[in-house]
Amino acid sequence: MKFIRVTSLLLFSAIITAFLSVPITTASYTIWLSSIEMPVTLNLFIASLIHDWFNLGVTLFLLFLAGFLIAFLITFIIRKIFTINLISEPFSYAIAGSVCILLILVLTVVLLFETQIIAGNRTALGTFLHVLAGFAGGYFFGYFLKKM
Amino acid sequence: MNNFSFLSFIVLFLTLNVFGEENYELEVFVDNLDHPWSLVELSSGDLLLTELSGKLKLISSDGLTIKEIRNVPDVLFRGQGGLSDITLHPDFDNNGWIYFSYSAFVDDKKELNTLFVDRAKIKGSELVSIQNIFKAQAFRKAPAHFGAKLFFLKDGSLMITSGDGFDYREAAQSLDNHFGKVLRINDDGSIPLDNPFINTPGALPEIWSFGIRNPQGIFQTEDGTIFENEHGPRGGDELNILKPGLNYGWPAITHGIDYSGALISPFKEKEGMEQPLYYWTPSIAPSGMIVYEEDLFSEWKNNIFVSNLVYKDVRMLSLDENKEVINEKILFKEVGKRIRNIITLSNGELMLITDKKDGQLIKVKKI
Repeated sequence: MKFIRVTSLLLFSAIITAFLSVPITTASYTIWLSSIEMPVTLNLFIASLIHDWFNLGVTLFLLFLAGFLIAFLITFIIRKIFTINLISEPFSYAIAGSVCILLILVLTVVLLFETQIIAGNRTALGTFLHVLAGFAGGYFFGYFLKKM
Repeated sequence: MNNFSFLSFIVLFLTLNVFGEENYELEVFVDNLDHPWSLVELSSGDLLLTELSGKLKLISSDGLTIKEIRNVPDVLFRGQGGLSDITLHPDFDNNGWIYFSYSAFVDDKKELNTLFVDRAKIKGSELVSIQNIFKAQAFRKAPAHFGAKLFFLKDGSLMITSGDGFDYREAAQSLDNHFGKVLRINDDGSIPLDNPFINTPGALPEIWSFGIRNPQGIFQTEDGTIFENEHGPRGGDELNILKPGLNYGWPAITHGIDYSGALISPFKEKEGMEQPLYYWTPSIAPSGMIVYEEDLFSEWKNNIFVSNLVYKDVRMLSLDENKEVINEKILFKEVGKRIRNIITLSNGELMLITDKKDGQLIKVKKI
């Protein structure tokens, strides 16, 4: 039973992180389009965001799920080995989530012709916001894991 | 097999051969090439071949001897970068100038790279009198989307395609850089005085047209029309007719989406931005392009041939008198390899170049 609950938590943390990450890319191109006087309306932004959630979102979800599986497992083992826990459970998983997202962003560039496939990650602010989304996903995982 | 079936088989066989469309045969002319990229035929019938890895090779007209030309500039052979296109000066037989494009670092730290175009002459087995005539103001970290195609127009000026550098796609809409542009210079690197933005403040004077992604094919027909093809992202590979000063829309309008699945733009059209003459979704990854203007394959005359990397074939596009594409036909599927380039030989035969290691030159001969 606990296995199913932990698996569900892992799935939801990846979904939350992907859900929060997608608008970074959508905003990056819509803001630029507005800057060159393309007629970007609120409706068009929302339609673009929905498109991206169901397309980019799926790609990111799968990437983040694989990453979180490894990152949270390592965090769990570290917390077991080093019983003196200076950092609370939610925060340790939040940090793991952040580092995981940062590594994924770096690796996608290194492995894919050195190019930036995730458009929202082409600026330092974009990278920071993705890492923040990873923090939120990890915190969610750690918070509810603690409650089990 | 009874007599009727046998007779039917013979009739079908003859029909396919007499009235069928397989009027050619393919012959592997040269193989074991290392990332071959482009080819040009000299008046002697010998061929000059570039390999992305940085080698320039002179191939005899019978394909039996290959001589490497030394003293080629150092190139950045990484990602999509390396020694790229090659073309001859229109008056090559008198002045001996060859032109070639390549990617290389622009700084000592080797952090940034860009597209270069040099001209040189061949003396013995060596490049001599090397002159850099163009260096793209499109400095990038990732070695991607260089464009790098060269084509001499009927007026003697040289067209250069320059890609958007992948990570710098928005720069294709600004005239202060060479990302995502088609450029036009004179044979010595100077700027033609009739270039469209030569008097536009802040614009780089080499720019001929802009809003382009990664142009991989360019050709001017006898009537002066300039065709260009370019890689789209996921979908939206384009065939365009280029005209001076026009904006072809990338990435503000596009028929494709990003590789990640995200939109690049929700817009497919906008006033003041050109629509492609034709586009491919899903992408075919168009590479070389010619318009067949010879008589050997008379049934192919004036059709556009676009080689491609994804489907490993050549698309033959037929146009009507208004230059609208009315038919697309798949040719040379039997090659079965990524086709990097296609050129017309002086005798009317075609030469296909297959991509990557173990690349080949494949001649298309009339049966």
